[in-house]
Amino acid sequence: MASNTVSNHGLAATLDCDRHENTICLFIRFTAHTSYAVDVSVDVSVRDLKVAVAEKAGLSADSINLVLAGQKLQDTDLLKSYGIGSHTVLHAFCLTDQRAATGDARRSDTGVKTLHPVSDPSATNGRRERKDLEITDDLHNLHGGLDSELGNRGQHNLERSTGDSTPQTRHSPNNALNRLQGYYRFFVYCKLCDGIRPAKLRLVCAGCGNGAFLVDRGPANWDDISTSTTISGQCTSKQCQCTQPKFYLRCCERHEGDVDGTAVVLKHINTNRRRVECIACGDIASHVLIFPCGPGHVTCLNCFRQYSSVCLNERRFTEHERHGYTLPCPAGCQDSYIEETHHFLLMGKENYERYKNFGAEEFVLQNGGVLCPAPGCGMGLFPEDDETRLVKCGECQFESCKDCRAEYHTGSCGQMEHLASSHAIDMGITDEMAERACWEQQSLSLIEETTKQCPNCQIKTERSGGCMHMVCSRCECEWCWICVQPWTRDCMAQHWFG
Amino acid sequence: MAQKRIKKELVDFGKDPPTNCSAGPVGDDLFHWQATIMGPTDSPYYRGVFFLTINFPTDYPFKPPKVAFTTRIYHPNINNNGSICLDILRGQWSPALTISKVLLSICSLLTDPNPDDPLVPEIARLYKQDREKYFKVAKEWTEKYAQ
Repeated sequence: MASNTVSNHGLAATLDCDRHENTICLFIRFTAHTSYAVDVSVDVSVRDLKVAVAEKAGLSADSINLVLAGQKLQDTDLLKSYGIGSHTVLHAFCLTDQRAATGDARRSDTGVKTLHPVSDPSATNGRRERKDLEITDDLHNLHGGLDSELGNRGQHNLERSTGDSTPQTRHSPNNALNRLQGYYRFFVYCKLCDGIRPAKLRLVCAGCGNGAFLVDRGPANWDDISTSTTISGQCTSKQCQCTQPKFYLRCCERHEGDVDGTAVVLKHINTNRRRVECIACGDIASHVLIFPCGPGHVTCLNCFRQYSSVCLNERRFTEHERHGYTLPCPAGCQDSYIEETHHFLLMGKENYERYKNFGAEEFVLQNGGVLCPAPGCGMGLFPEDDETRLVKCGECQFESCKDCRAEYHTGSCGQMEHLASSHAIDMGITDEMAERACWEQQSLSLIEETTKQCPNCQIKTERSGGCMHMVCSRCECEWCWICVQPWTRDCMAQHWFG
Repeated sequence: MAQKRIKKELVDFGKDPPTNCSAGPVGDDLFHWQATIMGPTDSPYYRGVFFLTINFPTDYPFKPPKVAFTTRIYHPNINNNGSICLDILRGQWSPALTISKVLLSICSLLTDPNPDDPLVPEIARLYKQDREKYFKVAKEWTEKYAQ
């Protein structure tokens, strides 16, 4: 094969594009200490890139193998087909022909991630100059897009990129299309960007951390990229015999000294490739959140934000054994809980802080703890399981009574009830003191006047309107506002609406 | 958000209105609609025109709309306040439902009352024990209040 192959598409596209916007800078890393920066266009072939690298590294282009995310780049493919953007790191290694050939054979056997050539490899073009290596880079926009709120600008860029049907996509069979689309499939919450970003799937050798690692097959699902992945492969480092890859997702933005663990995978967010309508607003958004329920209901990110904010205000989140303080699909599907709580960052930072507080409170209460009743404290406390009723807050030092949750007192809790009893008896509140007895008498009275206690969990509840059928937002007990007892058919017949 | 969704429902409703139903906003307030249901042919409500009010909560569609009859109706699942006992208007509400679907459900509730989950136990009892008499009273009410 001639060393200066330039694909037809690469050349055609070069002729009518703005070359300033199209050049990307790639880092070719041979070892941890040796890497080269190469300026190329995304529309040139891998072979062209190799030649450019070979010039810099003083090697033969034939001996260089380039690896991206566990797959060896094929000579005749365009860089664009791999979704390569500016500042992408490609790992390089040099192998004997025999070992390289074995790798090729194995890969073509599995049939994974092999792109069809888009042009005749034998068609050569002598004009292999740097300017030929420049072309439109819409993919570059992808990397810059998506601000922390997934604002219009970011969405527009993403939309444009995903909608962009490149010559490569049209001419190649589905696997090329899949690869292009798959490139935008992952989203993370990046702690360094402090926002939601598209992500890149990357992998290294689990043993030595070498990025030039070839996998036997591409990942097909979330399990494949988890720590218990069944995908194996081959590390190209001569010293390493490891066959286990370690997958990770990183923010599409290039961060200096980027390290693992700075991006949290938002597995439910995806590009709306199938153009599904949002279950709530009916719009077809560019990005959606897909609930893990059977039908796979989707909401746009704005509606998800509203849904979770509404549920947060009503404390309708559920403490789930595995997934934490979370929400199910709004259509009420079974087993549809959001599995990664960072998705709730979409509510905004302020609400997310509230969410975390509520979640912590719920955890304490569900596990037999109490919350410090001192105003403004609310520290979670786990009183010792003994006779004493004294609970001292380690944070504010407030001493409270374990039984009535008022300020600690001697004598029985009942003696304290007279504080609120004048209003409370009629409403059936006789067995528990005010939660925050240290408040002023006036506030206490107001609470007693306006609230009733859930007959199951005793949480003080205000009825703001509607019928007499109450559903406790904490314990989900259904009770009657008039009887202050669990809801019955008689309640419905006699005084459902008062 | 809610406003956008309600607008969309209004457009969709205009394009494909459910049989025997109409609905639309009262004045400029998009969150407050009035609807009418023509009594289904195979029911004692036939030839009656029933008015309903629909109030959308601000967090619609994550909360169900409040729907009530303003026309009096003799029905086991609708009381004299016009309140409707219908699961999808309460616990079984889903954002995937629309006003159009709600009105259709109310239409089928008129044809097929659910006496096992009654809002007005006396009517439910009559419906179960003396269907003919129920039919007669319901028809009288329809003539009196809905025509």
